[in-house]
Amino acid sequence: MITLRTNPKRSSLGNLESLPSLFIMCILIVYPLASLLIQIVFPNVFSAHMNWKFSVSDVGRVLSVPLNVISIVNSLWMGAIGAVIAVIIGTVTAFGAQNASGWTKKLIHTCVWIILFAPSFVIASGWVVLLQGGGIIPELFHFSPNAFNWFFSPVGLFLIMGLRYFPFAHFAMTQSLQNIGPEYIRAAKLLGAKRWTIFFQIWLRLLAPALLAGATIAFAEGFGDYSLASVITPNLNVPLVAFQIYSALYELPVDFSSAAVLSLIVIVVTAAAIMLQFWWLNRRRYGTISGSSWADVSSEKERPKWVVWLALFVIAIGLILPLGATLIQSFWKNNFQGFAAANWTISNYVSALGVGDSGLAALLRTAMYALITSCIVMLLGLYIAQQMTFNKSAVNKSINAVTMSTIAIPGIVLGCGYVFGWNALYLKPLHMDIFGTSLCLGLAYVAVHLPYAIRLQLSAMLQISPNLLSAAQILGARKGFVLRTIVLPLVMETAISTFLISFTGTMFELPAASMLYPAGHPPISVLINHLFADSDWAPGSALSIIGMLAVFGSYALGNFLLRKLLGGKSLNGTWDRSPTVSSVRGSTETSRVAAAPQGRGSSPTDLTITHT
Amino acid sequence: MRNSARVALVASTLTVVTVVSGCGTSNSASDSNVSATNNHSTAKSETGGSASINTDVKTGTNKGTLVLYAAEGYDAAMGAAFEKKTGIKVEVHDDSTGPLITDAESQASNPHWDVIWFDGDSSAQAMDNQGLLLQGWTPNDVNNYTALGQSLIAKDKSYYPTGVTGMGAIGYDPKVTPESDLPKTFNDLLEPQWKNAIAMNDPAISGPTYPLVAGVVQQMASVASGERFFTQLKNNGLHVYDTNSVSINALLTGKVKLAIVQDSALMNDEASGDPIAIDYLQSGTYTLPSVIAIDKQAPDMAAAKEFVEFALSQEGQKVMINPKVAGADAYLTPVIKGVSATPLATSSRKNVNWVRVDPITAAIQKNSLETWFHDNITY
Repeated sequence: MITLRTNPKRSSLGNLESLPSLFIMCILIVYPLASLLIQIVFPNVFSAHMNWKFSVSDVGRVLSVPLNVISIVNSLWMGAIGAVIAVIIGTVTAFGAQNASGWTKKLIHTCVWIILFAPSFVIASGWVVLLQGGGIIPELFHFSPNAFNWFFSPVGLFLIMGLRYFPFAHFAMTQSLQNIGPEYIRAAKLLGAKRWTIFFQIWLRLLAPALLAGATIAFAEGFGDYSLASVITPNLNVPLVAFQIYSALYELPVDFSSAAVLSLIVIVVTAAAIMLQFWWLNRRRYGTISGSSWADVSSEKERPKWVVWLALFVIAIGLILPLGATLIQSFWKNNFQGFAAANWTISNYVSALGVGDSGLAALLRTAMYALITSCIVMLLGLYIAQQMTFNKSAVNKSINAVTMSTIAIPGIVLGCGYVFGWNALYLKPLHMDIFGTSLCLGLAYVAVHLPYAIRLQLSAMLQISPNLLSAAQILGARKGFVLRTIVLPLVMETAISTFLISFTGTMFELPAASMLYPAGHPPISVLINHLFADSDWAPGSALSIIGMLAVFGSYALGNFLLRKLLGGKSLNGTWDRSPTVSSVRGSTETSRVAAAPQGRGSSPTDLTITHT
Repeated sequence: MRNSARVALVASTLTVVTVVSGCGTSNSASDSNVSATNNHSTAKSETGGSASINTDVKTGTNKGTLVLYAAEGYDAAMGAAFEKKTGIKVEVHDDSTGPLITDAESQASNPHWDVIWFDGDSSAQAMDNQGLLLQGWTPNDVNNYTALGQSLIAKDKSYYPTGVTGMGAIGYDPKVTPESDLPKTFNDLLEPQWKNAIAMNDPAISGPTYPLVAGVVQQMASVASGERFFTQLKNNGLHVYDTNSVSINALLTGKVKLAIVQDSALMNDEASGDPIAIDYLQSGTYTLPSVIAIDKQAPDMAAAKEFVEFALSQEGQKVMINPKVAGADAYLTPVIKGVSATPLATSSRKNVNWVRVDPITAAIQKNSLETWFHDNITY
């Protein structure tokens, strides 16, 4: 039988058809990243006095700078500890959600999602305004300004990282917890196993893939997260590599080579972490889904409530403390009058929202970027994934490799590539020197989100039964008709999910925006970050709250329209059934959960998106 | 559902096409302006869209957009005032001096800016040494400079002073630190009583701070002595923050007892009622000129020159010394005849031992000193 799936094109025509996809990926991702390598081996290519003299001597110079080495080592070991803490917290919240029911379960999942969705720099600054001298806690309890000096150290970094990245572990664990049937537990109980034996010997072993996935993503995020580092490094005085890349380009003196070499190191370390996880998972099978059906019939009494309370407590710390501090700070005039009546004001909001003020202008500007980006990402995701699914050309295999590998590349590295690649002197005669323009930032936004959109769309398309398509073809339908009337409606929900991911992700994207925004036209994330960097905590907090409300509002509106579009069906009801579906509703980072390997036995594809 | 999905896809496509074509329209409009003027900033035409195109009714000529890179509190107000006066659209890129200069240097071969304006003549001299600034141009009314102003003009006329403040002033809270305890010289800061109690800014980011570092090196007669001083200061628990406002915030919230910052920033906090006072070291405070310069390859050279002349005019200076729109940078000592400083600036700067940092030497040492400071002192 001949179908679109079973008879993929292998001809040169197939390669030709794939060329537009390859061209798009080259412009958006391959060329900027290649620019990093070019900078390393041809150090003067992007300088004012351009030449193609080969030299790798700068690599040694960069690695001989103590601060560079310290920042790499810090990011490595602190990221690892942060990931371990994230996994411990994520395990608690996942077990808590598993043992909760009704609204408590929804509350846990929703709060975890909000933490995941909130921008790193807002979470980190929330902790700073909570605990710094003159901050919320010292003012509330009349502590000494230096009472929390212990927090402004690596200890604080571990806590912030753990409480920031635990949602990755939570979502990965939730999926696995649902797949572990009661038969293993019952068998162990019949054999006389005690509670802790069951926990360590069954739960933890079966959950190993999820633990590893959560830890790997948390580490990869923490290692290259400029958004967090932009607040941590100046306030906690802890040099991190993501911040060092930025400061090499945007603090005096400029050092292109440092930025390029450190970016390459970030890519290598992140890729190594993911490869290590693949290697570990491929050592044995972790299959937990059996052919037999079962239902969770455990009674309320069997569910340990202390886990639920612990989960709620942890979430309160991770969510309410930093965001609550941001909210309170946004209504303060300054940080030395504290809770005094005269210190409360709404002027921070008024000035941020005043017509013509930079806050409102930045919000509207960013919304426009997000709208355009998400539309383009959704359409390109559909187009390229369709090409890759139904046209197995050699070119498409290379695109597949690009999308897989670029998922692991942080925004700060991609932004660095854009700084080099799109401001090169050799582009000037071609009028392609787009650095410093809104077009350049827009391309970067698309590049940050497109790989996720393609992977999610690929997963959705691979789950369409070939029989469905072959039946249509047997009945005489042409390829275009089949794609339009069968494939597109079935992947529409995923397409809209990619739209929402890109929209929300772009609204608070910081690393690429910090490097590439057109002069005088900062996106809202950059403006907030600048305010925090200048210790203008109150206006920065007010703008953060406004931005988050705008994103929540946009998301609620999108979800409402989606419900209308899908005839009463919403993504909201799928929390407890499919963490991968829930995860695609958050920021870009969330889809790393979806893209993460969960072990050989758990999913038919590299992605586990579920259509409900 | 199929129909709905199709409608959604078509709607999304239309949105993209509409928005993208909208961008295209503004771009093409800007492009036509580029060809008409031959010197319009492509970068800004794409971001500013049709709004960035202004027609001078009096002359009938099209004027482009002036791109102003500035780290001054009055830059937005000056941009607006200039726009109102001339009809030339001004895109103000306000940031700290460090990011502004690095941005400009990164664009060395392909600049998107016209005028740059920040605190510190040594930083301007360093840009000039790289060949980034327009040299040899003299603004109209250059004779309006005071003697102080004349003395601060670059030898090759690559940058011009627009006002003077003081760097290396000491901010303190009188309730926490009695006046009698205050340090008299930089070396006094190494005493145990100031352990973990001093804040200063990061010269990689803060414009006024490199002149402070260079000034210490100059006063201590050698780079090695200066570096030794900052190393000892770090060993005494020095806190390095990004900018004036962050260091002053550390003082206000009790993290530190002394903030070594720009005096105008302290005056601004004092004027706003914050519990802060200013002291000047007997060993000297560094004269800190705010300087303005034009990009050697300015996309809009004519507008750039016009803007610099506006900044040096009495009309422009009046905007700069208004604290309501200029913030901390309003508390400057004017360098243009006929312009008076604010009363607070005048009263605060009595009996100050001013030290002039040689911008030529400081510019030569800048790269290595900033790198050393970043790698050894900042963290």
